[in-house]
Amino acid sequence: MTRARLLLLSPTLAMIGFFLLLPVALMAVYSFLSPGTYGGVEWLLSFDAYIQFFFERDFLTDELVFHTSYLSIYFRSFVQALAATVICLLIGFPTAYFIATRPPATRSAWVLLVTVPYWVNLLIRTVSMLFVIRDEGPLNGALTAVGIVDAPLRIAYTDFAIALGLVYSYLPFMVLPIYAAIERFDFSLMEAACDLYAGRWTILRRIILPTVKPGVVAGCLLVFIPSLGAYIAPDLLGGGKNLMIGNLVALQFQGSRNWPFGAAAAVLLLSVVLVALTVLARRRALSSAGN
Amino acid sequence: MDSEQKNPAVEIRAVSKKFGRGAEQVKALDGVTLTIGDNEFFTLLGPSGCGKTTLLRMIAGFEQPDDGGIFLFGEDIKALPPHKRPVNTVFQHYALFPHMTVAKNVAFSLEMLGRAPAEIERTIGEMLALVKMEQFAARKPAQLSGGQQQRIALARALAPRPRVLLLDEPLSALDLKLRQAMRAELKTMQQQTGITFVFVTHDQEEALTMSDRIAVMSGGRVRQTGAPRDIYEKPRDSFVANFIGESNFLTVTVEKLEQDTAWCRLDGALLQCSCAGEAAGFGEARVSIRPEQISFSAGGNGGPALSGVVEGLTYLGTDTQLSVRLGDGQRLQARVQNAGREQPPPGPGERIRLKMNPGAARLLAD
Repeated sequence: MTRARLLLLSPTLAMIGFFLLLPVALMAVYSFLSPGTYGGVEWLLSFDAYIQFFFERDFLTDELVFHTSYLSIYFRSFVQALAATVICLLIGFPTAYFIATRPPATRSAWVLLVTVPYWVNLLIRTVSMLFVIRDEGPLNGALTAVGIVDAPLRIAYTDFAIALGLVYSYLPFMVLPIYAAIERFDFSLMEAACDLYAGRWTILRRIILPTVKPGVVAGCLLVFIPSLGAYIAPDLLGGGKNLMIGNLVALQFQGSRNWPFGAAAAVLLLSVVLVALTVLARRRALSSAGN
Repeated sequence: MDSEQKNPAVEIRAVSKKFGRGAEQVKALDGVTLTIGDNEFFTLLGPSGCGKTTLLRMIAGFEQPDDGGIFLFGEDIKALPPHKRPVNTVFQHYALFPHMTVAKNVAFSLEMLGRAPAEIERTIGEMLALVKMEQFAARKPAQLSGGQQQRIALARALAPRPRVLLLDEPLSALDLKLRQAMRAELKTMQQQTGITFVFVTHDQEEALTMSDRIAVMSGGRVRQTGAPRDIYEKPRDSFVANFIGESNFLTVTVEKLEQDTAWCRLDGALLQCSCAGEAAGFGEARVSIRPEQISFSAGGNGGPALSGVVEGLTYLGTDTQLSVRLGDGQRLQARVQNAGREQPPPGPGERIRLKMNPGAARLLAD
């Protein structure tokens, strides 16, 4: 029984082991080594990568001084990811609700439409988006032609553009789990609430939202976490000057040839996400035990 | 107050409703008119698809009539949304809020109505006591059995003290024993609270045991309205006679009509039947007679009395059912109690004399 189960699971376990755990472990090890001159690592134990993240060496006194340049990149990434998650939720929830309340026969067609953007490569989608929103692009062209603005709006290469790109990239991750939750929702509960003198907003707030909350939480995590480490949207739409964590890490492996530092930045991100998720899971376990 | 006393609790006036479009269009309700009195236990009885649930949902406000009017204590409520109508519903599958405790479920409507916290607390206690569920206040619905959920659904719907309580087949999901116990309790609860109950069911036994009055529905129309006894003993047409209880349908010739009595010829014998007056004309017609209304004695050979030949016997525990063929070839079922009988029942092939109580046979309108 248990052997058969192990056998069935072995492809998955092998996959996770070789392509997830091993690389992550490697990354963790690399973060404690010294950088090689032309990339790669020297097998010398060093905590420089982590020290470099939080401190810089004063030119004159050679003392370590606390600095926030990298922390601010993390902070900005969090804000960007949070903004993208909130916007995705505001767009995604009504969309999911709309799809889940269509007749069953047409629902799968709507779900298919949600996945349409995924038929085109993310890089190409992001570049096309850049073409639309740049100063000479059709969006600004239309705005100036109609006379809403005199000069082209600065949209490309701003934080707003990055948020736009993130929302566009990850919106389906918000829609699909919420849709699944709303589809399972028993609509007779809505009738019951209405029968018991609740108005529309109260029904949404007190009946629908609490019962579909797991789907909303799943959607938020699925948008927030990849947004946090996003690379393509901030690189292309932010013009590479408004760095996010993903860009910082990529830069260390490509331009700066400082693999241990890139690894350390990635490990720090991973730790933050893991700690946050653990706290969240613990709190949910506690609250459901409390009931 | 006086004028309110005179108004019926619910009045349905010539309500029609169609669902679907084009060729698939279905008439769910077809000119239904009903009056439900205050403090009445009123049952809408009929097979599935007869329109009873649509009518109930219309009183609750979940469906809009295409035509006709709905009045609650004399007030036209057609334009009011469900949350503005002083009626509450016990749903078929309870529809308890899964994320709230039992107490929160019961309190929901009171919070919506903005009642004071102390009053809400008190009402929760009263309602849970009424349905004997006090010790379950802190549970979630998923931790309750079907019967317990049913009780909470009832408490939740009764908490805001509705003027009319609508019950949509609330017992159909329970097992037989529980269903029978709940019937008596529902009836007691209705009498205790003095609230008008409108009860939807397809179970004739449920309808007969609980109701003050029953409306039998089929095909979007009301076939007959009346007290359980009238519905059972004086069915208006073959649908009602057939849907409620068992019955024999016999073809007769109407010879004489009086106020509410018809004299009908059946196989040479003259039968005193009850009739609705509006129903009949002369000539060929159908009557319904319940098997237990037919008694018999040995012998009989033509003559003015009805007689027949026993074709088969079925032992049913408390009763024995006889299958009898009349002289003109029509068959009927007679049923006699087994207890207290002195002679053994007649055997197959034996000729017996049949007797029907005067007025027990009912002349049908169709």
